[in-house]
Amino acid sequence: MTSKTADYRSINRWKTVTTTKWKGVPVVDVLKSCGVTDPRATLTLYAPDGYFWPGPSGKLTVADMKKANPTGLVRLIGYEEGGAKLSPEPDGTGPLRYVSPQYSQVETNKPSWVSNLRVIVVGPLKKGEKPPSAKKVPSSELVVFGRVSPTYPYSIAFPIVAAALGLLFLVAAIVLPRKKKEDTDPSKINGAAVTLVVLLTCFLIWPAASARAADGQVVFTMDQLKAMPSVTAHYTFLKQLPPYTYYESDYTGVPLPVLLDQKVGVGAGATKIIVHASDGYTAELTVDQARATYPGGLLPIIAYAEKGKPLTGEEGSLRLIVPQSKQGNHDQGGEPNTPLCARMVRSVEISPSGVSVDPASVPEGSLAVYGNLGTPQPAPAPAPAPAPAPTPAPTPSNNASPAAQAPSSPAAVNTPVTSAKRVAAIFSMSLAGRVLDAIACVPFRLVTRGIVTSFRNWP
Amino acid sequence: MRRNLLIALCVLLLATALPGCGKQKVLLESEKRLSGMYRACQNIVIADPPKTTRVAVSSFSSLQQQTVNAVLKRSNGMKISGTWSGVKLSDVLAANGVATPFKELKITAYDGYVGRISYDIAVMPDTIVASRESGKPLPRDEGPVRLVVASQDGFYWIRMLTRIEVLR
Repeated sequence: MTSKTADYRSINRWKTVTTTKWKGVPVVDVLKSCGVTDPRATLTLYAPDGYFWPGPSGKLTVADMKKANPTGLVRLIGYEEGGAKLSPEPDGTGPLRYVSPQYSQVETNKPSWVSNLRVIVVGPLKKGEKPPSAKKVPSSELVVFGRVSPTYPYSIAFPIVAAALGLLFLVAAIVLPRKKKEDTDPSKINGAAVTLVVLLTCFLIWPAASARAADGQVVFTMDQLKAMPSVTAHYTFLKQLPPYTYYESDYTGVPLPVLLDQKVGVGAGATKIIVHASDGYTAELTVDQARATYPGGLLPIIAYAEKGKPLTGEEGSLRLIVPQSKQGNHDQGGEPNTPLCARMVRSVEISPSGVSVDPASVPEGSLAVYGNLGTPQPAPAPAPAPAPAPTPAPTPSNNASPAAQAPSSPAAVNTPVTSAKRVAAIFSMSLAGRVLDAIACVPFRLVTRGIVTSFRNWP
Repeated sequence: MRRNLLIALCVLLLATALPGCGKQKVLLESEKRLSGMYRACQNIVIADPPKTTRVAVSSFSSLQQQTVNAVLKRSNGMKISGTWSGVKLSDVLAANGVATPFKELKITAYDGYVGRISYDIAVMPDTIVASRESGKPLPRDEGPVRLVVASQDGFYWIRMLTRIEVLR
């Protein structure tokens, strides 16, 4: 999560207009870090004095949190106002305050600024499900409660078996020594000590152990991407909204099927491919969509050059290009494809994933591929016919054909990188990490607790 | 052997109890802050330039008591109906020598919240400085007294009163 600083203007019910500098984290980032991604999920924010927003007649969704106002501001969880840290009630409005920008110049937005924010309820809740009272949440915590996907989305069988085994050991340790007379023998293994070690170890590391081993991360640099088999083709683009702009151009890039299947491998349980841009934009493809060959024999690509020139400006150095599934402009009944053609691409997530990578943390020009990785398939034989091969040769390129066109390229070996950040993230998920966290007295921690339910249980 | 087992169990117990301790401490700290506010709000400053008086909230009990049935409408649209009792704001001002009429009152709360109340609203008989809600003392986090302005929405109902400034 990265903090943002910006001036927020507010109008209250007294018609007082104020502008103050706020520093905080976008609400959407906080939610995402807790596993809340469904844009339809409703949100209610609570303060210990009983205030909540939105009120009984209002509605706020995760999609609203992503929305920026005309000047580009988003809703924040603020912790600094005018350069000063917020203090908790009763003399302050912190340590966290929900800050919402004005979406129109005249909007009375101050009532939505929830002071002393403690609890975010992600709904709709099940009948009878009670969120924790904001009064009982200490000022050092923010509780995100409700339809939150679990921090540990993996089997709970492991800890249960471990706990059962541990208990068995404990019982054995209590019962057995009584029968034996020679328990003064120092060479005997100390049953209690073993039990303790087993129990504590299981207890402390199970969340970390349950983070799937298959979850990995590979970072490709621009040079490595350019060394991969590439495709240069003529792509057409149609926007989804009026005036349905239609344009065409030649792009060069790495075919998504090559990247996914030959370079990193897609895990067995993978369902979706999510492409993340540095500004937080995401494009979601099904695995089939990512592997498909589109009309005209086109393949989806991660493009790095347009008409032979490297991508620049707002296209970033990488752009996802998904061909139209039905070619043509709006009048010809073409299929809009620009929503999927994400610019400024930084990472590709193979979902479901136990790891998360902040796309903004990936250096410009590099591409991180992470999530449910499998084993890379070898590139097909030099003369492949059907498979997503490096030689699709459709609507061929005219003026651009980089050297990397050669099939069966040596392809730089990319060994999975275990970033220190990722190890730290997994460790902080474990109990041992949490205990250390508490000891270190981190002044403010974001925690999720309460009922954690996977989105699979959504109605 | 037995001793080891005992030590092991103690360590385990301690490990389970420790995380709880941290939270307890934070709650206690906020309780400390709350009592600080409660003490500070025992006195209200009434500033009527050039005069400034410090009034103890406890002295209000000698004034005539007023009970108001009202609906508190908070900014989010939530409505809470209840019965508040205390003393009329106009009586408090009169008892401290604030001459009428004035333009408006600028009322400041302990957390820095400021509300402006015009003369017409300030002298209404159902504008009171309440010390009790439904016959019981106010919840502690609202301070010893709060403003109840039955004719107006919640943003006039200022809690944790610390200062009343008269603007003429």
